[in-house]
Amino acid sequence: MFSIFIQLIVNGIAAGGIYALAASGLTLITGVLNLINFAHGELYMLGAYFALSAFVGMNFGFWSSLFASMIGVGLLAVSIERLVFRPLRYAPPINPLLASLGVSIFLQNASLLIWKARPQRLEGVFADSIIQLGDIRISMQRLLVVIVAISLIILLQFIIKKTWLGFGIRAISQDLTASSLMGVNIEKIAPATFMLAGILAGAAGTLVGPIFILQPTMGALVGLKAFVLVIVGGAGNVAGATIAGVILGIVENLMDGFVSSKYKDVIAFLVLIFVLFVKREGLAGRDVS
Amino acid sequence: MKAMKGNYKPVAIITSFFLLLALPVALESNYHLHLVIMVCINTILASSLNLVLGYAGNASLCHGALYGIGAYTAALVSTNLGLSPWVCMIIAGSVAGILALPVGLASLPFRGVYFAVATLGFQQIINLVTVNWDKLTRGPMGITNVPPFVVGSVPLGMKGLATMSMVLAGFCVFSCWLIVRSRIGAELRAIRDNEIAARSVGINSFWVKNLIFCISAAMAGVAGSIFAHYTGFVSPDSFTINVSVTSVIMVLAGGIGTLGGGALGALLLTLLPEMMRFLQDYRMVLYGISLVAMIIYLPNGIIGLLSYRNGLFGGSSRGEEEGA
Repeated sequence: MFSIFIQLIVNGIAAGGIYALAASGLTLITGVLNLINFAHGELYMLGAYFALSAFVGMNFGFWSSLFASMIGVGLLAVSIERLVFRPLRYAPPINPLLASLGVSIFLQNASLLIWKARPQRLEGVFADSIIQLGDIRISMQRLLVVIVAISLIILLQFIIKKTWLGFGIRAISQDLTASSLMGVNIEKIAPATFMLAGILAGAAGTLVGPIFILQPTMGALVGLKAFVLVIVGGAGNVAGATIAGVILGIVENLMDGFVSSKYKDVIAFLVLIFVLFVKREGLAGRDVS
Repeated sequence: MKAMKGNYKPVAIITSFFLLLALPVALESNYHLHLVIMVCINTILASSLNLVLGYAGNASLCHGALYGIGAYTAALVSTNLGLSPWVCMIIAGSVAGILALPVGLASLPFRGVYFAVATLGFQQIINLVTVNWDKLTRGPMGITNVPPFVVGSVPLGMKGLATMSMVLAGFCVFSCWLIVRSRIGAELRAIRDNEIAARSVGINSFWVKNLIFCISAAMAGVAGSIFAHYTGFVSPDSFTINVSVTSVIMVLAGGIGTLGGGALGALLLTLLPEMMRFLQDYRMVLYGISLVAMIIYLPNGIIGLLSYRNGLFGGSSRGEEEGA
């Protein structure tokens, strides 16, 4: 029983790494640019498919596929910002939210056309290698997820804390008007933020490729959950989103193993409503009274 | 209240509505009649949402689920208890209205985008419960053989169904008009435009918003029950987040906070995917693009094109507190 418990936690950490990657990019978009982007899950889905195309179609190795997919999704995210969110930058916040849902319909159906509905799989570098520690089995692929996720999130923290780009991102998240007056150009920071978020989502998608099955709809639920994590961790808070992501991964796996697999997807949304209640003051949508 | 500007307008609207009722008689193909029925169902759904979104200023993203609750209630009650579809419609509306109360109580303290996000959470929860509670809902397989609408013991034909749904849609729009014209409607607009000011003159804003949310949900439930009895089949796929989003876009596209907006948007968004059928596989791709384009280029909807009014949506009085 105890070893099952540990096993579920180990699997949960790997799942949580994926959530963390998806959510840490999204939290930048939400926190910095004040916009709610429900198309983020589709970037994650495209990450998996870009890697698949690079791996199968162009005979790239796993690492170069990962890199190609990160860059590809990053550039796609920039173009989405350019075409959809820039025209809506000063519109009421519900408009970009709805537009992002339109983008997600578009991306899902475009991928359906390109890669068809047939579930596919990306072969990993560590096809089936498994580390055995007593009763606990860790597949190399899941370990890889955790390692890459940790490295990318540390890198992201470094970019935010130490570089000029991060400086601009933090300035804009604090006060758009003031930082614009100080010479921070939102028209440069916004695409850069989307690029970072796209890169992380692309990495997340590529990493799950060998673990889960690839389908054009695979991103929908992940995108919504990533958004929940953004709210739970605090918009713009990368560390918060990461921790919340790992916890969600573990809780979902425990629920799956010990209670029922049916309702594990409900947890995130129950948490969302609960957190919205508790943190009302911390969110910008606070009650003005 | 555009309809009240001149005395001739209500007369013109009522006359044209009765003239429109002749449409199902004139249509021959079942496909066209099907479209008429779907436009009417969507009109009810969009008008119900317009009450919450346009008049109360709350963008609900769970109307697809409330519509689904109506459809499932009608399907379950009619298949298990054998009640007449007309009774089921009333039950479905009441159940959706009652179940909306906890949703509203939990979500309405939030404003703007956060209300949308909270209702989106409920949309997902309700949908996941519908998929997984197989003992009641039969899960993804859905409920088949929902009895059709009957008069006496004769099932309504396509023409009858089309006429019936037009009458019901007209009735719903008329109820919206009554609500908007009532004291509640005035209070709603006051809250939408400035909630603090509204409260300071003694309007219980939370109660009013909840009430209108439940009324709106009941109307969405009625739309769902018509759908269930018309198609004879309900499954969780018909009530996903996509339905919620589409209905919000219907309201936006038609004209937010206008009585005809729901109907116009329903007409546009029901016919648009049908008109795109010749594109075959590319249809949904272009549909996604047209939704985005509509939000960018037509933020005030079709009615907004005809008569420009400022601050229809997220007007300056609300905009600033909503940013994340």
